[in-house]
Amino acid sequence: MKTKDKLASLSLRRGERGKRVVLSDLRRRLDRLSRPRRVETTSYGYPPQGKAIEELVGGQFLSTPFGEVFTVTETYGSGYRHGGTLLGELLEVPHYPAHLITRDERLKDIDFARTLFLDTETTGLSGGTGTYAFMVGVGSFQGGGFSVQQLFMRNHSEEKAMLFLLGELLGHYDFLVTFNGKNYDIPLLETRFILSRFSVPFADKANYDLLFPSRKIWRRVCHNCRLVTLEAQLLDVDREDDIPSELIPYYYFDFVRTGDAGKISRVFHHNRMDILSMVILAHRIHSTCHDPSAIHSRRGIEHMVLGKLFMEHGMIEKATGCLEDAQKLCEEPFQWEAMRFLSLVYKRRGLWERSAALWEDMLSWDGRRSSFPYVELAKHYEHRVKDYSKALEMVRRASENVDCLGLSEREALLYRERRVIRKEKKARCSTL
Amino acid sequence: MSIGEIIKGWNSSKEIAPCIVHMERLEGREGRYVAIPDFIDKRLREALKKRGIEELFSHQGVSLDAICAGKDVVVVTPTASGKTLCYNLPILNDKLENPSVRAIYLFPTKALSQDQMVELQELIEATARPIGTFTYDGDTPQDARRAIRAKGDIVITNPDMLHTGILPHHTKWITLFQNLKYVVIDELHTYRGVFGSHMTNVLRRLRRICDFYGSRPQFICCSATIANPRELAEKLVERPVELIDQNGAPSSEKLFLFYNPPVVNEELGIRGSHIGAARNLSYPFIDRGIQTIVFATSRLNVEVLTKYLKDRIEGEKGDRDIVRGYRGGYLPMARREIEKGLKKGEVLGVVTTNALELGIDIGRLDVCVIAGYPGTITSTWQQAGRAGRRSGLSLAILIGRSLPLDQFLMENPDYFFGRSPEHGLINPDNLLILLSHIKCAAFELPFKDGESFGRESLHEILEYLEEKGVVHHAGDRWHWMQDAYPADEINLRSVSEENFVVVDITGGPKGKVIGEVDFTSAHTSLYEGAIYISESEPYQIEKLDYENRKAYVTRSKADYYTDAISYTDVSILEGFEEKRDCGTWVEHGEVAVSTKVVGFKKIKFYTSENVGYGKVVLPDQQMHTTSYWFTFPKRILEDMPFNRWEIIDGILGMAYALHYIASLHLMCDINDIQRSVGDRGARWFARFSRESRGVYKPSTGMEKVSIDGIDPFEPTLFIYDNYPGGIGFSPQLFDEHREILDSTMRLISRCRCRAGCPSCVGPTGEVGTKSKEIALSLLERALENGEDKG
Repeated sequence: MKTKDKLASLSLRRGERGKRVVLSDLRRRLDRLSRPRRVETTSYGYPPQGKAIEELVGGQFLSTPFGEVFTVTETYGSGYRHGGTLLGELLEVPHYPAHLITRDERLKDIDFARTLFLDTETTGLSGGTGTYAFMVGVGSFQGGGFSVQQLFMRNHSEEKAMLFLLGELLGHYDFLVTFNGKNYDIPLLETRFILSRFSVPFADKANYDLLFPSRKIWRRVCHNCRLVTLEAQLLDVDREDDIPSELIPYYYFDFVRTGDAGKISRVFHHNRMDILSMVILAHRIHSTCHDPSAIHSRRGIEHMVLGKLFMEHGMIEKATGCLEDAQKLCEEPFQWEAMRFLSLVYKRRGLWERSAALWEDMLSWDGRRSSFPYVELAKHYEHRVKDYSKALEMVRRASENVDCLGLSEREALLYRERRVIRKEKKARCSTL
Repeated sequence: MSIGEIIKGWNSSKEIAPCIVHMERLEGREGRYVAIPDFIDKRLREALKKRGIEELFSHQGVSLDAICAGKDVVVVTPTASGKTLCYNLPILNDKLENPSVRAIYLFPTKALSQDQMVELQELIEATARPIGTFTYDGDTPQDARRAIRAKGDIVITNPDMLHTGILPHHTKWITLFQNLKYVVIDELHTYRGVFGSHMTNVLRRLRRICDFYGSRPQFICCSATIANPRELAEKLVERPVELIDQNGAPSSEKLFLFYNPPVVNEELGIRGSHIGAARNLSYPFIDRGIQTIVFATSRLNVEVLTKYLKDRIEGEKGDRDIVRGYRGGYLPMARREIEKGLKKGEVLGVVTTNALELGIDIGRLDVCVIAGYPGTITSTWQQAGRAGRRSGLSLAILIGRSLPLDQFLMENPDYFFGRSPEHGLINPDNLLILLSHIKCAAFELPFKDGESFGRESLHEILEYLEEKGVVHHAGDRWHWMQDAYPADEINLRSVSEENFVVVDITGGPKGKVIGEVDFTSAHTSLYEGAIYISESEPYQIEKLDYENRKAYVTRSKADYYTDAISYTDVSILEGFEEKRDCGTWVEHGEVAVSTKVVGFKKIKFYTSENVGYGKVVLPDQQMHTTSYWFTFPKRILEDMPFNRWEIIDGILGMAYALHYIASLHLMCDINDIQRSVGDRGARWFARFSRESRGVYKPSTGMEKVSIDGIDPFEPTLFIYDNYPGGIGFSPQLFDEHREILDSTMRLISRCRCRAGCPSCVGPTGEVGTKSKEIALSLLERALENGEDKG
């Protein structure tokens, strides 16, 4: 029997020899094997029934040693406003050191004028070698404006040409900006380059993934850190006429099967919006870091997060300002945290009285919450004021009042208690 | 008191002696050794020396030579014969000379991977070379995975992880695939039936990826004793494989006893409890400080036996903790502790499931008690292999239950001690399985025009998949065209992904998933009112949500289990081969099977009494599969002194026994195959349930056929693969037709029941009171005839 007949007969049954009846069950099971969510398709192949891509999208075919690629270029003048921000403003904003936010040394000298903003559109989110990036959009500052170039493969056989062109483009830049590119776009493109037997062009590129700083600053402010959420909540970008991104793979499959570019043409706009939003998001991150007071207040949480960030990065004065604002603006439970960080900043600057005042204040708040203010005050009295009886009182109050002390915390308290008692005795002896 | 003295005592005991139905003395054997060859790296030689290895067993030497010569091999050796060194030695040696070499080790379970890694790392540490050995499976933390991909010189994993986690992400494993020189497949005999059929396809995908990166790994397989290790290995790796089966490890003298508990119910053929027997037989050894391992067939039995033994020891003022239970589901920490206790000799008795049958290193013990035939002869030997030190007498005891195969072995020990009758069989080109893996392969790398994958036409399958929108042909390649990850939808241990999940709602409506049943068996095991048994605990099915493939169950105290009453008819689609043998007309080929479950009976545990019936309303199930069948020609039946009804009874009884014997030869679960008795031309079918005996028309289900009007009356017995597409069993049965009839005859004739019982032809209530007698006459008549050439 030929294979095709066998495949068919898996779904057919002969009641008596030769007489075929539909065996609907197996057919359905075979169908279910080709899940999930199948796109409804009625016809396959060329010639296209609808309009070809070049009829709907203004672009051109560029030739490469591996064939042609359809590319679309759009240029925005320096005065172009995306959301609430001019694109060119990114080049003006004083750079908060990107390598500090990302812990990537290579971003130390990032220069947005020499940076490629990159975003891909793909055939799915499942990852692995069967997912294709069918469109790669790259944006960069050119002359006085900003230009976005989009490379698009009309079917899988054009992938090699598209990647070749992308490799050429990447060669001119040292830095990349992406959104979630570290975990998504770049590994996916690496896989595509390997599968096409090209060398992978990303090893020498420093990738500034905006997702990480965004998460750091806004995680507690926005309900999630997807690009569309940040756009809506921070950047005043309106995407009302956009397509739902989860449908993009199906638009592409549909286009490849039918050649009808009706739906896929809208993905070009979608991709450009993503790239422009990355530009103004980068601006927003850096201007916020540069001058936190310019933030439209969001209950002070950003002040607190930034204060903490500055503190970690050793910028104590900037941190102080931020945390002072945070203490005023924040509500429970963030205020407690703001006070905690602020007291540490004061401590580090040698402003003991201010720290001590904050700790005292924290005690009056809710003594059971944490041993932090007790321990800090105990240290303060022990080492600085040298009032051992007060230090001892703090240690004891901590053990009595604080709920759910950890084992190591309890041990540390006991240790401290013994030491203070020893010191107290010694002090008494020497005064006697 | 020694082992020998205890046995002496048994031989003079009136109670025990009659139950010892066979005693086999397996002579001890001197080891055969060869020197460690000069080309082995000095550091490795030193490391071996530190572990007390100064020469090799002969089979280790042969393996080393073959592997170093670049051959694909399968090494067949019994438990504890230094099997892992057969591959660790050549691979580590190569690795020391060529640091870029990489290897993948495949084990069927995670527990085995862990155990092997520990052993391998100890050896590597002794060489003081930085060779990275890691397990990579579902338990590997996400953050460790990246490091393993980069640094894993030897990656120890399982086929499921290779299938879902590694192959679909091969670009992240470039270094591994570019330098992959060895693939080790241990416990090869476990890759049979469905699992093995999937495995061949996973290896096809692996080889495709290796081709892409320009590597061509060697395959090193290790197997327990089965009838066809080389054939199985060659079917799995699809290359010629060299067989290495001359074991050079020494062994000491061993006694193997078959213990058949006394018959307690003559009428029903029921024997005394195997659990009680296991307790009584193992206790004297544990009591005298002789290390004993007891294998039970279920987790529940492990718990019961452990408790019995502990109580008995405590009763004699002993320390309860010298006996421990060990099974899947115990925490790893507890397991390690027990393993250590065994090695140190602090634990004297361990009761376990087959969890301790494979690999896990617990040292060697003195006595092994196997409470119930574990299902395959291979497993039985592996379990028995746990007993036996380098010197001194050791003992293994197999205790029979009242089940056909247990009783068959009790009565036919030559079957067990002779050449293994068990075949590892697979059908990697089962269309559903093949189709699944072609999808995975297309996801991993686009297929090129003209490429092949398996024995079916790849081009036609790809065209079929393109019609379904799964792949797209562009240029000269077929590309993946879905937003889906196909490997996630394919379970290597079943045929289709349409499993039913069993949800326990005893604790509340939210429920807890306690098991999965594949689509095919679901119809005969999950219906409302059925008893579902999980870990030996009975649950009753309250509600079946057929559409969503869910069965809701609650805990039950039922003292019965349920058995579906199903009507099956089989129609032949195409015969592949035919012959006249044993007076019958024998064929194998493709069939369409249609099954209707109409009700169920409740059968009491232990006594097998029928205690009630229930009705079932479920859709018909239809399946296209492969089958072996044989027909009794008119001339053989005509001159026998039985009427047609009696002949049907006889064939139904024979089918019952033959079904078990076939599963023995195929090394498969009894449910992997099914039986049916009817007409070759699908004009009538026999039903074998108490309330509806008779012959019926197929499909319609209810219409009776007048038995006397049938002409010619030539009943046919079908044994078919119980999986859509077939799993490769039927050609084997076709080839072994005579052996199977012969074994079936032995099973029935040596059974001591009067007129039929669950251990031979089935309960008389179902097959009639003369079934045993008639089945035997039919078999005798058949076996008188030779093979008819031409």
